[in-house]
Amino acid sequence: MKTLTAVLALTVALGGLAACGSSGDQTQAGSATASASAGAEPDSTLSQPAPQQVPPPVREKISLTAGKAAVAGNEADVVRFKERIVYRFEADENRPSKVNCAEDCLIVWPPLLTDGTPVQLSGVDTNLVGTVTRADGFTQVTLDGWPLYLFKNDQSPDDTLGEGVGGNWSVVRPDGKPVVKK
Amino acid sequence: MYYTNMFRGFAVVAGAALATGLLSGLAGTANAAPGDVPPAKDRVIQPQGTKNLLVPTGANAGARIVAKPRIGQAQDTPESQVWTFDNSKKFDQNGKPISGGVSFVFQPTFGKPGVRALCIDVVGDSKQAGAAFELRPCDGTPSQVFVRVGDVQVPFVQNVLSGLNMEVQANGAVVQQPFVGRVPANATPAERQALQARNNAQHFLLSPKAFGVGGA
Repeated sequence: MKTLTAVLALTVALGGLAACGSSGDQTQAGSATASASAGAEPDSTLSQPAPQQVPPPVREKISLTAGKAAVAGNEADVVRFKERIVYRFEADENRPSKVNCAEDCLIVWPPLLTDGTPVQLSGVDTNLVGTVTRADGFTQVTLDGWPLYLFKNDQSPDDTLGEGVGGNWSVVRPDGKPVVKK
Repeated sequence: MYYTNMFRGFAVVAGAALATGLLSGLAGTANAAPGDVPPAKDRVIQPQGTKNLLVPTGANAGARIVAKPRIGQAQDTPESQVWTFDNSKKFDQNGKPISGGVSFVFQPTFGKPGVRALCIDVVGDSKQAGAAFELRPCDGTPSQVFVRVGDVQVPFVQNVLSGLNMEVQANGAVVQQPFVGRVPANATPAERQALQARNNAQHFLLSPKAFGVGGA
């Protein structure tokens, strides 16, 4: 009986350790998708994936609406465009405005590019809203000088999945400040 | 009776151990977003078969990524040679999560208030072979996301934007290149050796610094 109990305890405890390892250290096992022997002959069975495609920038009529949403577990004042939460990139600059998220940023972080018509505002101070000309020539809407973006993976008006991505993305408040200071 | 008691014993031990395992797993994800694997700190990126590590030439945006000799062994490895692996969900051009996608955050810039986190990125977000790598503010975009391909222990490290692999050149610079591919049957020994060396230069150990050996 004692032997059986000890074996069972060891078995299940090892299972617990495995669970711990898999949650905290996937960097070891990773997501290796094929088998190859490092240091052996180059493996011709591994094929290169197609590069990601950067979508073309789109100018549109911009409207900003102040509202509420849960951000990092707390209700906060936020801004929405097209019923999606609006973000700022902490590595951009606001005085003066400067866009530092270009090129493949368009894949994940669609910028708010104005078509030149006045920005429609609801609950947002008009004095805080402006624009900046990007390196690609498009005009991006700013709030307190910060260029504004959406996060592609937000699907509903309450999604704030982009908060904290890379440690540099923030849900923006109607005054242009981040809900969660970085 | 003997079997009843034995079953009770099993149930108690299994329940306790299962609870321990579950709790330890939960503890590891306490600071992560739902469904995210938490970041892994104190990691090194070691080109296979060398005592070098991938490091930036500085702690600033624009610093190039190069292979340099390791300074100090195991836990003595300095922060300037250490990365935090950001395992949070990354997304491709279609908005789908990239399985196993990881960003390499230069650890001295990770999680420090007022310090912009810097990640390994492709210079100019290039998709061209030969493009170098540099530090740029972490933005969660595909050019900063990598997947491990091939051998589990010593994988290729593939950039998601370009689909090309990290490769260490003879001068220590790190660039992106396609797979070397099969050595032609009519290759000379010298050509075969050169291709083999390139293939080896695309394999990396991604491990906790505590596993490290070598260095000064």
